[in-house]
Amino acid sequence: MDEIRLKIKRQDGPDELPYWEEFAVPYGPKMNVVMCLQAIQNDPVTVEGLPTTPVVWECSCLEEVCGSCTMIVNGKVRQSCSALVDQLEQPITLEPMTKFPVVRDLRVDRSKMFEALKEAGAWVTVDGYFDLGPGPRMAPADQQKAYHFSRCMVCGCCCEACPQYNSRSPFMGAFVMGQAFMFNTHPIGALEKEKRLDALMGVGGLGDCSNAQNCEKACPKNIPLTEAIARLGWDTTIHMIRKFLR
Amino acid sequence: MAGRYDYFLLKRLQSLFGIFPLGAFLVVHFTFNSFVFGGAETFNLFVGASQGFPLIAFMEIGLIAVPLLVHTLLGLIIIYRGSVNLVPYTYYRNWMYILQRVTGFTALAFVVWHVWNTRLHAFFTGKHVTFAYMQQHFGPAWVKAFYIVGIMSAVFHLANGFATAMMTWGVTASKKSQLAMTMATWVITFFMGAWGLRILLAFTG
Repeated sequence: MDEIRLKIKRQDGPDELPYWEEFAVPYGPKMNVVMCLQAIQNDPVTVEGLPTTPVVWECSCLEEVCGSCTMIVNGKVRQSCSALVDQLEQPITLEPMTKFPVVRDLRVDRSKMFEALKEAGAWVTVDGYFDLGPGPRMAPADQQKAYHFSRCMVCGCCCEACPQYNSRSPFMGAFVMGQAFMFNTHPIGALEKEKRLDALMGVGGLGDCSNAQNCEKACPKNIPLTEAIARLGWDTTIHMIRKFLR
Repeated sequence: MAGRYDYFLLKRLQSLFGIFPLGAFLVVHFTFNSFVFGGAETFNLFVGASQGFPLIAFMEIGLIAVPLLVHTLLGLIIIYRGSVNLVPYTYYRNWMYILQRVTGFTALAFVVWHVWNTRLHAFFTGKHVTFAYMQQHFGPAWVKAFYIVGIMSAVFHLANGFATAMMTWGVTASKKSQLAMTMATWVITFFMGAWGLRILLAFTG
C-alpha cells in the first residue's frame, strides 16, 4: 500500500450544496486522518488530477482532548486525530457532522453546544478576584466521579449519535447533562443546583431524552452520560415535587 | 417563562400513564380474560358481570381511554421529534429505541381495532361479547395473525417502556441495575406474551 484513498464530502459554504471529491495521498506508517488532510492541503489535487481548493477542517491538540477535529469517519462520528489510517477501511470517507450547520467542508459551527452549556449554568460561580481562601473539601470518591465528567471536551459526538438531537427537537444534548451533573456534585457548584435542575426541566432538557443511550457509546471519553441523565432524572423528580409542595 | 416546564411534565405524565393505569390495565385485562380457561360459560359470566359493574364507564373512560389518548398523542410528538440512526449506531438501546416506536404504532393500531370489535360493538348493538362471538371473530387467519402481532407489540412495549421509565425517573442509574431491567424486559415479554397467546389459543382452540 503506497497511497491512501479518501472520499471527502465537501461544501463550499453554509448555503451551498454538498459534493464528493476523492483524493489519494502518499502512505506513511502510523498516519492519522489529520495527516491525510494536511497532505491534501499541501497538494489539493483530486484523484482525477484536477486541482481543487484545499479541504477545510478544524484541529488543534492532535491528542483527542480538544474535540475540534470531530467529524464522521467511515460513517461513525469520532475525532480524526485519533482515527488511524492503518485501522480504517479504504477509501476513508470523511463527512462533516450532520447535527450542526456546516461552515465549510468538514468544519461545522458547534456554537449551539456552548449556548446549551450557558442555558444549563454549567459552571461554578466564583464572584470577584479577591482571595476566598481554600475551597471546600471534596471526598476522593466524589473527585474520582467528577473526573470522568471533567473529561468532556464538548466535541459533539453524543449529539451526533443521538436520535433525539435534530432540527425538529430542541434537545440540548447529553453532554449538558454530564456537565450539569458534575457541577451539581461540586461543593460550590451545588449552591446553584436548583437553578440547573430548573433549566433541565425546561425546553430542550431531560424531557427530550428517550434513553437510546447512543451518547455514552459514542463518547470518545467514555463519560457515564446515561448515569448522569438517570441521576438528574431522580433529582428533577424530587425537585419537581418539592417545588410544588413548598 | 410561561410554559417552560410543560413538555417535561407532560413527558413524565406520559411515562407514568404507560405504567399506571395502562400497563396495570394490561395485566388486569389478561388476568380477567383468563376466565376463558374455565370454559365458555365462565367467560360469558365474567363479561356479563364486568359490563354490569355500575362504575364501568368511569373506569373505561378515566382509567383507559383518557390516559391512552394522552400517552398516544405525546408518543406521536416523541416519534416526530426523533429520528432513526441504526446505521451505523447498531447498539442494543438504539434498537430498543426504534422497537419501542414501532411497537407503539402497531399496538395502537391493534388496540383501536380490538376496542372497535370487542367493546364498541357491544356498545352499539347492546349485546355483550360472548365466547361464541369471539370464536367467530377469530375465524379468519389474518385476524389471528393481527392478534399475535398486537399482543406481542403491547407486551414488549410495556416491558421495554417499564425499563426505560425506570431510567427516566432515575430509579436505575447504574449499569448493573439497567442491565437487570433489560433482562426483566425479556422475561416479562416472554411470560406475558405466552400468557396472552395462550388466551388467544383458548378462543381459537
